[in-house]
Amino acid sequence: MLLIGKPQNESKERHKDAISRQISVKKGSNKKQRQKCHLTALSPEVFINICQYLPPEDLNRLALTCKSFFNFLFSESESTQLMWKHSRTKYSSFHRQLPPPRGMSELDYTKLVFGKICQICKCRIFKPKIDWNFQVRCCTECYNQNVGTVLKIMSKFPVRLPESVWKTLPHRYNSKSERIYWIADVIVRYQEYKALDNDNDNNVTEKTLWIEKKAAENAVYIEDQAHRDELYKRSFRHKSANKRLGKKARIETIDARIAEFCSQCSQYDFLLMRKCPSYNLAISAGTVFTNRSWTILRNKLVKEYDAGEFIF
Amino acid sequence: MATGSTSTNISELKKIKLTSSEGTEFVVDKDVGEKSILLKNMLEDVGENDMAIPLPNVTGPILTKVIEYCTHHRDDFFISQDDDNKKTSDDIDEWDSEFCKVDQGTLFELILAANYLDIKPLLDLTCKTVANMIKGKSPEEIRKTFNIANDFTPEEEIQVKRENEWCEER
Repeated sequence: MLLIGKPQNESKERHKDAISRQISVKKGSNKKQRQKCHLTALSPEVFINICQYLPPEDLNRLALTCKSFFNFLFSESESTQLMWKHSRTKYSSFHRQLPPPRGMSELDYTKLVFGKICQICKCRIFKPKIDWNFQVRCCTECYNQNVGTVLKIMSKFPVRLPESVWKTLPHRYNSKSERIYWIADVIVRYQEYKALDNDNDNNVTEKTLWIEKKAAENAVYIEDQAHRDELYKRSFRHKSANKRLGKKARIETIDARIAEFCSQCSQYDFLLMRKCPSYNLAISAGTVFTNRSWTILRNKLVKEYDAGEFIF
Repeated sequence: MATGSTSTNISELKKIKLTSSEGTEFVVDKDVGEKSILLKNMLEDVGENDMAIPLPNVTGPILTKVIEYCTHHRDDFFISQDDDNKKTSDDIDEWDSEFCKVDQGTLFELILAANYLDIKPLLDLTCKTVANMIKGKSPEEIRKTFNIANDFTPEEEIQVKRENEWCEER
């Protein structure tokens, strides 16, 4: 019933496994129990049943344990893609519930929405965010390297495209209201355009039809991206609202501690204490405010207060 | 479950006989046995019969465990598997989790038996238990837990890991 990635390979794998098991049993029969792997010997149906209880991160780690799981969990087959879809929808909220954009596989989509690193340079600087327009999660540096305005792209690459074709590509606007494009997209589109040019020199209608088709595709694309952008931002606002609440609670805790301290040591004024540089640093930190953090903060505040370092 | 008006009923509870792979005979109440869809269908096909049903794929100890499970849950109304998306592996009740505290060999044999006998709730329970054993572990830890042989070459492993570190916090 269920198709798996590479059935022949897997059965071979299993056969090999059986042989190696026999060998190892002969070598050290007292280790017989330890050598057996039950998980790899399960039928695909049962294996899928187990996988349906795993979030994407765990599926990914399971795939990295051995080749047969790797081939199965990263295959293009329908049952595998369905499994990733299942895992994604079950363990996520908001924008992640949307189906993948057209042409993107479930696995790639899962990597995009659940990813935590830059997809290009693999860095983790400032937890790279998704740009739905170009369907990529990357850091600012990689982003800037991979996008460009029309002028910048034309100066670097021999790309000559009519305005009507430029319009069929996903784009954003930069701060100067210039259109910016993903450079790789432009190059692919240019190659397609050129191939069309060479094929039929005189056939203008074919070219027009092609441009129309691409423009229509892009219109659908833009609408889809706008929707995703909005949902993505909304979930982000939701998160930052929670953060704001956390910050408010933190300020209240810190103020209460300072007030308590000032009531005990009357030479320190509550309002002046709050003007010390460390106060601002302390209220904007994202960590939990423990007793230890208070001791450290108090010492810093007292030191700055005594030295008369205030910020007004 | 219409019992029909066949012959005179000796006892109210009907019994069925099962034979494990070693040939040991087990007698269970019919409603307990019918938690297995395989047995239920068989009994429907065969009709009233005193013959023991052979289960060549299930050993005695495993069959004992399966019967223990089915007896405990005999009055449960087993819900069909339609609400797949709501199923999580955190909703195992106390009795069930105690029931699954067995060695790994037994656990996997239970999975195979549940699959063969077609007892969906037992299959789900055992699969959830295995999923919980995988959750939150690194690939190395998963390998160790299940004795999975690492068949990647060291170079392959480095590459494969680098390509698939998208979800890892560090």
